[in-house]
Order: sequence, then structure tokens, then C-alpha cells
Amino acid sequence: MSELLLAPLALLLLAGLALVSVVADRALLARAAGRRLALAELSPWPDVARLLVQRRRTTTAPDALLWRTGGAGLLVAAALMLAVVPIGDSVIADLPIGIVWFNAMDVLLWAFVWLVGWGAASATALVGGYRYLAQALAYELPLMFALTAPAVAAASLDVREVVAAQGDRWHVVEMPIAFAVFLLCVAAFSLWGPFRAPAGSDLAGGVLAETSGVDRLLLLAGRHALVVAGAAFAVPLFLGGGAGPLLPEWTWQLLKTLAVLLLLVVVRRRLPVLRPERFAEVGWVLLVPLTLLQVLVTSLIVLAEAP
Amino acid sequence: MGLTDRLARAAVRRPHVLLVPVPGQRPLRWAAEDALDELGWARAASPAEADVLLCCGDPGRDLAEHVEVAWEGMPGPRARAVAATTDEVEPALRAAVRELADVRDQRQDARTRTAARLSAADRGDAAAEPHAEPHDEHAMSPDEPARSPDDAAEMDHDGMDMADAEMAGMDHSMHMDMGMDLPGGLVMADRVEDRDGLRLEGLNLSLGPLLPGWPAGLRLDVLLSGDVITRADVVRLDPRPDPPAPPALLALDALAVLLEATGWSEGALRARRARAAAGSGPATDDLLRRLRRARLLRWSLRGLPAPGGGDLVDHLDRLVAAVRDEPGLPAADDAQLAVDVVGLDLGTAALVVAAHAPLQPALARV
Repeated sequence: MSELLLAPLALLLLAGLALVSVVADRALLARAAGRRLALAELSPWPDVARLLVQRRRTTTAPDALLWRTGGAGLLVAAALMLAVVPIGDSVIADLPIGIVWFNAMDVLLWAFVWLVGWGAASATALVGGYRYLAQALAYELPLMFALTAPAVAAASLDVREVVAAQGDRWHVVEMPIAFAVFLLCVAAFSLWGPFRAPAGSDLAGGVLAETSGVDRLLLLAGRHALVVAGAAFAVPLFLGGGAGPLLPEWTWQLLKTLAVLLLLVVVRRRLPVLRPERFAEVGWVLLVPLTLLQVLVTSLIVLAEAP
Repeated sequence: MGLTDRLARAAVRRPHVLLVPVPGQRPLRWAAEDALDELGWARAASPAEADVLLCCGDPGRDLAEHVEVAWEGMPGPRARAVAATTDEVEPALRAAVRELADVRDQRQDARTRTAARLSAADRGDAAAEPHAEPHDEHAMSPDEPARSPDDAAEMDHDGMDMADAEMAGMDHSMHMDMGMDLPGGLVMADRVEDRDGLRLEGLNLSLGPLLPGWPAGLRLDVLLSGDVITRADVVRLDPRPDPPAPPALLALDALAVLLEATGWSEGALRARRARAAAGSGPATDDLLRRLRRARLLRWSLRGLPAPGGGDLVDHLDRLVAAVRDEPGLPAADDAQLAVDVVGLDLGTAALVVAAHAPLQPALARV
């Protein structure tokens, strides 16, 4: 496919899948509240319209440049993450180190989310920003090791080669822990579900506390975009890319992305919010050894199967 | 029909409501929460997010000051509603939505706000702004120099909203004269020792009465060292006793507040529905069953102090027992609360307050 078409198509897919995740989320919400599932209920348009119509606001002596940069940064990071995901046969950025690129983009989020919290010059926003850093310190190492496992199995950091190496046996079968930890970390870096303490309502919205109007819309859209980008990346890494019988590759890839996305949406409201200090315990004491063990097992499998 | 009108009508279909619970008006708060659940409207976590400000009853003098600050912190379009009886809640909400959709009125409101501030700024008159001495924590609003009123004529997102200037919580007892001109007239924070002996910035913060799920009229004035509370004072604004209610319903209400504070909004919703169903029936059984199986919830509540001793897991069990009409619900104790939150960070403190507060001294049954 022409490289020129690929970037807009990718962004379109990002938007479309984000929309699907929002609609699915609203459907679950409506069902839990006992309301009927009508179009008026499921449509996210009223929420978007509300934010478009709302005026922006600011605080005493904010750091406006950093604040707004952080706010827009979430969407940018999500789009950049998507750049290394193969779409059909082609990929926007054919990097030999695609997995490292993804990791670098999610590390950028540390800066962006913290800047949103710090730039607002508000106590609650700042505490939200620091909560995000505490959470990030807990999930970053497990995420890195979870990303290492498929790379070891494929002997390459290039995403397309990881897909190719999954020929008959998908990575999720070989390394389920890495898959589970990866999904957990996708939720964590998107401030999703049990990891939304940095934007928690106990802190008047945390990093979202002082934002309104378009700034808020950018942040909320960024969160959804990040979940989509994470789900999209999980497919080539763990679920065999576009492999599958009968249907063309791009259909399978889309279906698998949708499945992972819906899984994340279902988890979103079911679990209580994890306090960052409790999660730090889990991250370091449980997840780091588990993922290291996973990488060890994967390496042993690679050695055992080496010709 | 213009694009603006169409957008405005879509925008008011699901407004976010900032609920102001008033001490002594617990049935009104329940009615308002049930109405919001029914309509499917979200509860705003901060004035920045809110479109509608709903007062559950007539706030007393101290609480009214906070409400004014919150009102000023709401960006337009905004609407205000007061419900004096449980029947008035839904009509008040609908009237507020009509007010929101009125584009001309909202533009007028925006123009008036900015004009008032500009004239106050011109006169150099800081007293023109509603200065609430106990200000709640999310009233950090800007104080920007003169902007043309034409900017405010647009209801769209171009105009920067200048909600009222309210000094950040830092200025209470930090009168360190640095001789330095900090932006916005803020002062440097002083250093205080925290629990590990580090000298971190001390910040006086008022965790205000309008935080979501916070009990009516409760304000927690804390001294933060870093983000750990080193000193706390519990202040009850305009305290008034609530009308009595069956303990099962009070326990369900306490459960709803606690579950909302832990972030399990689905559980909180079920608790509120069980409460609306008068505390018996399938909704209640469903809730209790889910609570029994909620292992992650129990893990996250371990180790936090609860009213009546023990930790929050025990408190959860006591509330579940109270829903089944078994006695043993502890009484609330503000002095104990002030002691319990010391040494906790803001998030855990919010959980502890959520557990302490809906209980009233009248509830104690032994």
C-alpha cells in the first residue's frame, strides 16, 4: 500500500477503534445501571459536544506551555506507538527496533502526564502527576521484560519479524505471563480502569482537575487512543499478527485488535482503583520476578528448538 | 438552525453535575443521587468538569461561601439549581438543562463575568472578589490582566475563562518574606519535617466540602509535608442533624460512599440502587454477594484505620452485617478522624474520610 495513504489510514483506524471502545464502555455502563441500550445512550457525541462547547480555563500562574504540551502529548504518543504496528503488509515506520520504539513512546508518557499535573499549578493536579510517576515506576520494568520475551523468541526487535516468527504457534501460548503483564501495563500507562488513581475522583480529578473544554477532550481522547494503540501492538507481538484461516490478513488483525480492546474495556469498571503504593508492591515483588522467569523460560525454549 | 444551537443542544444531553450535599438534608442528597443515576448523568469531580451546580437544600452561611467559590470556578456554559424538597430535584435539574441550552443567556453570563472582573481589576479592588476565607482546594483560578470583553462574547472554546481570583492554599501560615516577586503573588512554601525526618515543603490545604463523595459540610484542613498529612483539623460547616433513617439504609449509604471512594463505581451504583429499593430484595442480595467475592477490594482496603477500630476490611464487614439488620455499626468521631488521617497520603485519607463520615453519632447501636 502506498506509504502516503498509510498514515491517514492508521489515524482513521485509531479514531475508529477508539470510538468502538467508547461505545462498548457506555454499553456496559448502561447495562450495569439498568438502562436500555438505545442509540442516544451509546453515542459519545453528547460528551464530545459538551467539551467542545465548554470554555477553557486556567489557574493562577500555570506553566501554560508545559501544561498544554503534556495535554496534547497523549494523543501524539498514541499515534507514534501506532507507527510501528504493521497494517496489512506495510508499516508506517519500518524500524528494525520497533519494539524499543514502542517502549520509548510509553516512557514519553511519564513526561507528558507529569507535565499535565505540574503545569496546572494546582495541589491536586500535582499529586495526580506524582501518583502517575509512582505507578509508572512499578509497571515499567515488568513492561520492558514482557516486551523482551517475544523479541527473544523471534531473535529480533523488528515487529514484522516477530510476526513472522509466530508461524504455527502464537506467542500468547508460549508466554502467557508476558501477554497478561503487557495488557496490564497498557491499562496502566493509559490511566485505565484500576490504574486511574492519577486522575482519580478522590483528588477532584487528579491530573484532570483544572482542565476543561478542549484541553480535557484532548486528555480523555488521549487515554482512549493509548489503549487502542496498546491493543493494536499486542496483536503482532503475541497474537500472530494477521494469521488465521479463510479471511484476509487485515480482517484477522482488526478482529484480534477488537477482541483485545473489548477485553480491556470490560476490565475497566469491574475493578476498584489500585492505590499506587499498593501497586508498587505488586509491581516489584510479583511482576518483575514473574516476567524475568518468563524471559528465562522463553530463552530455554529457543535454545531447545535451535537446530 | 445554526451550528452553535445544534452543538449546544447535543451538549446538554448529558451534563455533569456538581452535587452540593447540605448538612441535615440527607434525604435530598439521596434523591439527587438517585435522580442522577436514573438520568445517566455523571457526577462532576471538580468545578472544572461541571455544567450544573445542584444544591441539595439551602446551604448555610459557611457552606454558601464554598459554593460561591465553586460556582466561580465553573467554566461556562453553566447553570445553577437548588432543590428544597425531594420532589423538586428532577424539575430543578431539567430547568438547569434548559438554562444551559440557552445560548444567548450563557453568552450574557460569560460577558458579565469578564466585565465584572475587568472593572474590579481596573479599580484595583481585590475586595470585589468573593473572598472565602476557608477556600476549598480546587478553587485555583486565574487572575489574568485585562482582556477584551469581546473575547467572552464567544461561547466556544476560544475564550480563556477567568473564573475568580482565589489565592492558592499556600498562603495560610507561610508568611516567609522572601522579598521575591513570585508569579500570581504566591509565596514560597516553608519546610516542615515529615515522618521520615526529611524536610519537605509544607502546604496548608483545605480539602473542601465539595469533593465528590465527601460528607456534607465536612472540611479537612491539613498540613501536608510532600503529600503526607502531618496535621489535620476536622471542621464541620453549619452542622445540623439529619432526620433518622433505618440502619440498613444508612449502612447501604455508607457502603455506596465507601465504594465510590475506592473507585469501584459499579459497586457504588449497585449500593445506591439497593438503597433506593429500600434495602431489601434482589438488588441488595446481589450487592452483598458481590461484596463477598470482592477480593481485590478487600486487599486494597487492608491496613487503613476505620471508625470503631480495626481496618477498613472489618468496617466493610460491619456495614454488610448492618445491611442485614444485625447491630454493631460504630459511631462517627471527628476527633478520631483527625488522628487517623495523620501519616496518610491524600488518597488514603480520602478513603478514611469516606469510611468515617456517613455515620452519625445517632447511628451507634450496640
